[in-house]
Amino acid sequence: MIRPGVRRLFRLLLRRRDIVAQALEEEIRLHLERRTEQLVREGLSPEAARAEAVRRFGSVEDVRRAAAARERRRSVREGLDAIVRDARFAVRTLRRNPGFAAAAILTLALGIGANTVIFSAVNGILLRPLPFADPGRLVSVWPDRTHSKGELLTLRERARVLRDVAAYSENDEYTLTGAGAPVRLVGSQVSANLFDVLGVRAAVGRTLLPGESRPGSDGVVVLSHGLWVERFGADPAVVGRAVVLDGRSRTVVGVMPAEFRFPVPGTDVWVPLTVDAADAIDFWGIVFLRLVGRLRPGATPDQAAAEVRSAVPSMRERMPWPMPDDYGADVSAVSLRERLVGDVRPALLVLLGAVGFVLLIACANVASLLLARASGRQAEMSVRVALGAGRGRLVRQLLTESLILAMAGGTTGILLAAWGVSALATRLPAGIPRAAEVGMHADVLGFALATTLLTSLLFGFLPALRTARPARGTPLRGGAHGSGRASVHRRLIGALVAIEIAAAVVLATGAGLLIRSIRQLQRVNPGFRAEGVLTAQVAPPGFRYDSETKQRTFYADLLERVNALPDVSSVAAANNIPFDEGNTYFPVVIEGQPLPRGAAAPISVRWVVTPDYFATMGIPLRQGRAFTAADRPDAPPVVVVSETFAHRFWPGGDAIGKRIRAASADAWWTIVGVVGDVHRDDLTSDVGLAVYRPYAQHPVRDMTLVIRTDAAPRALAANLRSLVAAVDEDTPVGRIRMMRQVVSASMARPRFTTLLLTAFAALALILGAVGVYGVMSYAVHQETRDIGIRMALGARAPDVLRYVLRRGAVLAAAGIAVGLAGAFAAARLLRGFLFGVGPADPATFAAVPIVLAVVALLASYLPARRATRVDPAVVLRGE
Amino acid sequence: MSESLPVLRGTLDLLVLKALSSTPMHGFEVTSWLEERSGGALGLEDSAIYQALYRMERRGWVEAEWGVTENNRRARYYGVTAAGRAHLEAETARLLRYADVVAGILTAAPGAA
Repeated sequence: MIRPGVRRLFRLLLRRRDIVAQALEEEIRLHLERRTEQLVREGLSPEAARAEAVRRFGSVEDVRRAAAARERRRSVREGLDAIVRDARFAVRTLRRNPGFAAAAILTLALGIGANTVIFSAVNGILLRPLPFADPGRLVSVWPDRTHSKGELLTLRERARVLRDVAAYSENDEYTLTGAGAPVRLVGSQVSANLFDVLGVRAAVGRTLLPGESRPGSDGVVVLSHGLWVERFGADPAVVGRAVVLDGRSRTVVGVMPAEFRFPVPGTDVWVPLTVDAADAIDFWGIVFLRLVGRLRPGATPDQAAAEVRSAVPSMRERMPWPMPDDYGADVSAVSLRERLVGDVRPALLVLLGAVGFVLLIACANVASLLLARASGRQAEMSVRVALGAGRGRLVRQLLTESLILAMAGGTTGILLAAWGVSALATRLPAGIPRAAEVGMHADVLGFALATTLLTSLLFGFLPALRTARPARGTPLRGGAHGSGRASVHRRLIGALVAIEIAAAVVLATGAGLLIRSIRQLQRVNPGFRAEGVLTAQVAPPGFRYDSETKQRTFYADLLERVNALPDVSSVAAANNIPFDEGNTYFPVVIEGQPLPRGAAAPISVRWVVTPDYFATMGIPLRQGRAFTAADRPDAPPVVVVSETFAHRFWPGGDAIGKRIRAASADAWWTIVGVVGDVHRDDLTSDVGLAVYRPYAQHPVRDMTLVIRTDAAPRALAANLRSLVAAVDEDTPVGRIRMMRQVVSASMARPRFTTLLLTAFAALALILGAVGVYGVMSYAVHQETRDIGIRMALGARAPDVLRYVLRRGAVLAAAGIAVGLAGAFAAARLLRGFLFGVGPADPATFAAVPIVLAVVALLASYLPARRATRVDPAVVLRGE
Repeated sequence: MSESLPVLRGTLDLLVLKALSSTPMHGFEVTSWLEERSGGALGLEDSAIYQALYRMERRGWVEAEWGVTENNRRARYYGVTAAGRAHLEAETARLLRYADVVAGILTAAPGAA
């Protein structure tokens, strides 16, 4: 196909060069002849005149060079002219057919726009380098668990492959007082070298000094840019000032730059992690730190992991208590970026894949529109061939048209995307890492442009080749119908539309599976009754409530006052509520059930609650009793356990009266009740072991109130704030939410993924329907004569309708069959997103083809009805 | 010819444009036109004329067209384009002013300034 074209092009070039050379020769020859004639007239002999003419002419070579320079410039100019001409012509052609142009541009804009939006998220979250120095060398060390200060120090001593290791805590909370109304802050305890390891500097002042991890020297704090602006009016003089965090005065030493969001977005303060190796419990027993290390140049994460593994025996040796045999089995090191964004990656890639399908459908759609138009342009092409245009020339012209369509679609798409990106950035579910970096950056624009160019080739190439192939033997004849060429076109278009349907089936299946998962998720019983429960976090400042008695009095007072509010049926407090961050876990020892040597102790969540907690939350009591006012500090220590806990350690037996304790303490707790299981973190997690302790015997300073109420949440929230302020004006009330919101927030991510995927599936369905409509309209148009003849021969409207619909159905069936196979494969990739639904969910796989078939038939119906209105008399006369 | 004056490239362009400004000519006609007007005082090889023509063709100041000479020979005839005409006018004015100024200085009585 290509070779003859190339040869023709080559011949063309050769011919052009010959012509130029000949012209030059001719011009010089003429000059020399005239000069010779002149000299002969002046009296020279012909020979001498000839020689003199040549001498006077000088360098022929210089003239030749000047001519060559002229020719080069000319060919460039002609090339540019041709492009401009092609573009102008393309614009004119498209203008003549505004309906087609609008449909194509809109289709492409949707495809390119949607891709750009999703790419902006992929780019901001997954691709852009972390805003730290040389971020490729940062690794998250031993990320599968949290660590103690002792482990950190042991690692730092042995760091070789790792240049250094730093530690940080996630999601600590502090109360800031003395700077306006008391407020809860998100903070992080960090080792002083953290900023150095990450390679970041303070925007104002400094970061932490090594000496500031000594207890007593740690009264300093680094502020986030956001907090600095919001609470301190961006005053640089804040450095050196004292602020009160949790009742403790700390000197502000610095402010971080705005783009420093670590370890989580929204972190307000960084305080030094204090290290006191003499306090064994604090040094080894409190396990809450995450580790980040910087690799030496050339080192790999695997080498770092090996280094950490080699430190495990010495950690085990130094620990004041025996560790289970599998301690250290989960050592690894992964890039910090992986650790920060790893859990969002699968969802983003799924969405990127989905949106790629949408673009594919858009391309197929435009390609089929172009092909349909190709038949209509046969006469035009024949004329142009007759006028001497080569096939390459026509293909170039048609590709220019595609490019212009793509550019118009791309520009519109980028405008759509600019809106879409900001909409997406503000609607991302809370807690998505690096959400602030999602935006219309230059690299996103570059992606959109590249996509635009690629699509123009993708949808333009085949139609251009087909259109530029003038039908043999039918030049300049009016109609195109009945020729074999039209039927080839129709088959190609049919194939494209079948591809569209197949892609739509894949997307719709994915969306269907996710929707089914969400619905299954919503059906899960969380273990409590979320309806009508309001929660609010209260944090009485430590400096005023420095004893357990004072704290107890505070909560007793507060609970009593809240209980007295109208519309409040019951109220309780808990150290933490289910589905919220900050659950505390502890290793349990069961009396009479010693652990095998080297086995790890069972880990249970521990909730500290006031007596009415179970009633207020609607957690059912299965056995024994709930806590009462009689479970005072001086009463025998008691505990309530979850059903799963009771079944696991006393299968079939009675847990009431049995005793358990925390591995780190000596006091035994007697089980007095068994309550229903509660999901701890979200609806998908398993229920696990749970232990409840009475607040009176296990005081905690910061508690969350749970209030069962009929009141409007807003009114109650206002009441609650003024009520807490009346008890203590320095106590902040934070995170006032309905329990229903808390539960629903735990589903925010899957719901968001589902929403986007469903939107893309809907888009795919619409584009697919447009495609089917387009191809059937085209077919009806092509066959107007056939249909007319059929009707003249006695076919009635229903026959015609059936005839057209059947063709639509065949297309749809082919597309659906291919699509189902694809969907079956694609659903496996979704496995990690499914809940309570298999990847081969029969309901979804049954529903999707039905929906697609209905849509395809509806899209064929309009053209089919048009076919029934064909007037045979008119058609036949038209021939 | 030993006393011939060298011609700068830009100046040659102007001379050729001037030659063509009244009527299109082929290369030899331009050459003879210039020889007549200069009395043969310009130190030019004939090839320089063609280089000037091609150079100006490249710049879009002149356009060539095949035509027929009085003895029925095929020849490329060069004509001035609008851009060439504008160039000729602007550069001629500039060159004349330059010559005036230089001449004024060089011909002033010694010590007058």
